[in-house]
Amino acid sequence: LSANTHSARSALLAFVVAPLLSGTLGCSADIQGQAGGSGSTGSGAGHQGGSAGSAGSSGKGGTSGTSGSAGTPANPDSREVDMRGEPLYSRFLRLTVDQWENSVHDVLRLSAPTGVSQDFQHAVGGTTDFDNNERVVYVDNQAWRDFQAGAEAVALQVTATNAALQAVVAGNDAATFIKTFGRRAFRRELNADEVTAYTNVYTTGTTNAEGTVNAHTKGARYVIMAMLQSPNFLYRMELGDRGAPLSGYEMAAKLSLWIRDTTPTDAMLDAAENGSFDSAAGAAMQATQMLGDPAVARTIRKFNAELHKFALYDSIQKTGVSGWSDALNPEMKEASYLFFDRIFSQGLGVADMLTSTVGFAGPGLAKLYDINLKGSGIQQVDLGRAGYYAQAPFLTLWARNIDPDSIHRGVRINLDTLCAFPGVPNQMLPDIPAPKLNQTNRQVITDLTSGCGKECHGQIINPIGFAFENFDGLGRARSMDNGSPVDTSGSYPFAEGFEDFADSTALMQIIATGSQAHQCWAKKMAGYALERDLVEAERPLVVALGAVSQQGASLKDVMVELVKQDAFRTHVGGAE
Amino acid sequence: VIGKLKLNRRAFLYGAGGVAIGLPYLEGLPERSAWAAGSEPVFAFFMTAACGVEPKRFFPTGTAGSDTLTALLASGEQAVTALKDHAENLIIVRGVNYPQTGPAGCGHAEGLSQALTGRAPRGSGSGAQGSGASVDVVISKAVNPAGTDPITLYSGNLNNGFIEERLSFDDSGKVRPATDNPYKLYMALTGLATPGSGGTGGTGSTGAGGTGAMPTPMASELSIRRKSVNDLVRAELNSLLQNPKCSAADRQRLQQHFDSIRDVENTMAGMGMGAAAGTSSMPVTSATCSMDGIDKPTFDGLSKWRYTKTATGAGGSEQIVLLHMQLVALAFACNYNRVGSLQWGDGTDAAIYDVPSNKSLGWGLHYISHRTASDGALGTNATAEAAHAEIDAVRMTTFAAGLNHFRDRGLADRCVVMWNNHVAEGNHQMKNVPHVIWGNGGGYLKTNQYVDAAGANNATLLNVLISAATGTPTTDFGSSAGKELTAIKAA
Repeated sequence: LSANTHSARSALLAFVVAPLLSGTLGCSADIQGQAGGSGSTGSGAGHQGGSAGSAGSSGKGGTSGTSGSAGTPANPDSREVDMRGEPLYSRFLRLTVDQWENSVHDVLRLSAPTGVSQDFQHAVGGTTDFDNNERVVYVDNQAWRDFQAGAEAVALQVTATNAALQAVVAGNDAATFIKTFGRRAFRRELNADEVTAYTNVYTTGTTNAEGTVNAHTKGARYVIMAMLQSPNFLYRMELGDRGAPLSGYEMAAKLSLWIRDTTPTDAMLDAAENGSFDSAAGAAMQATQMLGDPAVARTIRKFNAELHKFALYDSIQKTGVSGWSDALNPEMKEASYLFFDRIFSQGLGVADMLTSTVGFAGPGLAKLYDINLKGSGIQQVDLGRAGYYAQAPFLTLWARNIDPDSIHRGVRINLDTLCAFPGVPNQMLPDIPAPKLNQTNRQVITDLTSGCGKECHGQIINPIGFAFENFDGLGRARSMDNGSPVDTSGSYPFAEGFEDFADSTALMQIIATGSQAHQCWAKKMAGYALERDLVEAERPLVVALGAVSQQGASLKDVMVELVKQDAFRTHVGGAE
Repeated sequence: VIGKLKLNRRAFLYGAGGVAIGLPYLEGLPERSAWAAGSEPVFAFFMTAACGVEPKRFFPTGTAGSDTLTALLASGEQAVTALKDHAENLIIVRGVNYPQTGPAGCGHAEGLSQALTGRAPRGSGSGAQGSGASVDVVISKAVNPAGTDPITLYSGNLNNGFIEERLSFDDSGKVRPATDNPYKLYMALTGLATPGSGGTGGTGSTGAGGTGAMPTPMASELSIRRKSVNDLVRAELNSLLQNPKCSAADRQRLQQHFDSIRDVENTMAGMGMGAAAGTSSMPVTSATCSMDGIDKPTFDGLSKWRYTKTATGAGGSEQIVLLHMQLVALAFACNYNRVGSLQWGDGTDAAIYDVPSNKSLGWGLHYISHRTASDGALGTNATAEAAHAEIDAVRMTTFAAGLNHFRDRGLADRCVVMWNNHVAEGNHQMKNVPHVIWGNGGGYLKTNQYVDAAGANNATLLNVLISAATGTPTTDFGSSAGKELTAIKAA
């Protein structure tokens, strides 16, 4: 058995059994058992079927009282989407680094990204689903230095000459500049006090700024610097009464920063001012228009990249595997992006992600798929495989060198597509032994995980992973493993109960037909849109959105449906 | 090549990318945490490395307490012999346990979450976090100005690693982000250090930050501009803080923002750009707070640095650790900040060390530590075990080189540098986690000794270091339960 040397994050993981614990996951599993916070009383864990009483699996606490202690063994026939979370319900959601970059680009009318944010402090990863989660977007010392430096740098850039400033706001009138630029930056109209305050800054600039530009440009330089450092720019705020509808401006900002990853356009702000966002139908219409904006593509890419951990494609490493080269990494990453891009852009839905046979391949992947490409570059092809998980990138990432990493494959699908918590990782993971004569990978893993981790592995993790046993560690199709036929059959306890399947194609069809994947995707996207964790109390929202998706709605339609919901359109959190 | 840098601030301002980009990043301050005369500060730096050690070839040979470290490290092939030049300033501690002594899921995240908190982690699996503030945050709150964060550094793969920042935690146990590229701290510090010998930008004699080094018109304009902007932003934040619709968490978030503005203002004041400077009693001389020993070309070359998986190559994690240590020593010598931390490797560190025994394996450190090319923690590969010992030696050599900078800046008597690991060895156990302490903490610690903590909780050790760094006896950090590791204290 040759060594698996791809990145630690994608490390092969033996989710194997050790005495005393029933959960059998390892460090690469991305399992986040969270400690209980302040007082959940908890009904959540019972949905998870998690291992009873394992440290840290007690609920994520929080304010809703819906998460809570683990330990109630779930009914294995009724696995529902994991709804544990730790929302803060913050009303001050700092722009992500990308949102800052995109917004600065837009409010300054730049022709190219500033690049200034390239080395801004990033959000801490690995503790939330997405890097826009309220828990990881705030302003500390380093972030402030970054935002201050960035604001100063771009302001100097666009006021380097008088002509350059005219591209931001034409004319030389201070009030016009402050109101026009301020509206873009603050994503709303400035009030009179603000106009006065920024006029004072403008005046300070006219008399103190260095350089040979005229006084207006100097004043504007200070105003730009100040506005880009203002909390009104750096945070997306929701300041209404709890339960009250968001204002039109708040809705415009929320939608645009979610869907387009940038600040609203002037037209969107006009629409907000005119009340076009005020009703559910109006907001939905605005969202639909935004979803037609080309900028939405970067949002979808970010969402999928974080959900499916595309960054790991940069560091896949294998040793002594024929057919492998590092050049495959970028091709796999881009092919994965393109697959999900197509699902979204073609108006397809969750079921298509799981069952579509259309994929993408360049010259490297074509060899793995054993297909001929007619042109160069990465092309759309019919792979004859059901969905993303049967494609070579996923199968290569979650592999032990040339062997399938059945455990990780199963864990990832549980977590990312079914929102099923597979249990707490094991304490001490023994090595995966080399197979004996004619012993298949499946048999090796089954033997290894047949002890006290049986519940997690035998029912939840392994069956899904084993469905892909007909694909090796490079995603190449195979029918034999170590001299024996592969076995891809299994059974899994879905929300609707146990279902049997013959292989990954059948498995994906079951998942696509059932409710769980649809609800899971809805939960993930809602969390991304709301920039926080969801909790048990919001299960009805997830169920409703999932039902829309399950009936065949496109991803776009599910997103629009979310916009109609009170959970999206009203204030939460705030003073107790 | 580390040489003396002849730099003045004006040259730097105009040389590092031009005014438009370079200027805003300059925020050096020698006086941000001034202290009263006669009460010299103790600086504290905490480093936690990844994936354990090979204990048989790591700790000194001989029994703890049997002899001085000068004697114990004089010869031999143990990894810590790389530190022999620092023996007089060292304490090596074996027998330290973390509160949770074994993994309950993912030992890496759980170990990291305990290394500086002295508490069992919150949660389990790869998402485990601290269950309270880490020692750097506690010390920072005690000795840094309000709102000034501790320096938080990283050497590893923040781009696509696994289990990234998980070392420094705020009061609520929320993990704090870290900076991986030394260039950022370098840029922050460069404005404060006085020139090396032959420099032209100020005398640097009293730690005032060389007011003569900053080009006066530019400094004046920057000061006026930032005051104008900061006053406005502060007023906006104050207004928001008074909004009755804000929750306590909202206010905490805004206050953190508010304090961060003040932190940078303090920096500017230290540069002589907004407030009186030169209140220090610390003899910040050109020998300590200077660019001597800082290799400017190397740091300038890091402006576009990105992580590389080869730990022992240029730009690899070992070099990054050393560069971080150079800068922290400078930061302390210039009193830029009083405390910092460095996570040395991802939780499951895939960095590849080019050591002899790894040539045939080509494994990342995580697999080396597990003695198998997997997450399985019970491997038995003897070649990997040998490689781990060789890696330990490499890391201790890097540590020793970094300590040279602290020593050369005269910090041995006013500093604590602690190195530990997030697990004891590759099987995720957290018993007998190695700890190495450099510096006598202002005379608070008894150095040149090898101590066996006999299973003591790491919080008991951290209690002593907090006491040294803050000047306030502390016995209640983490889960120490009123105990302290007295063996490391001076009589």
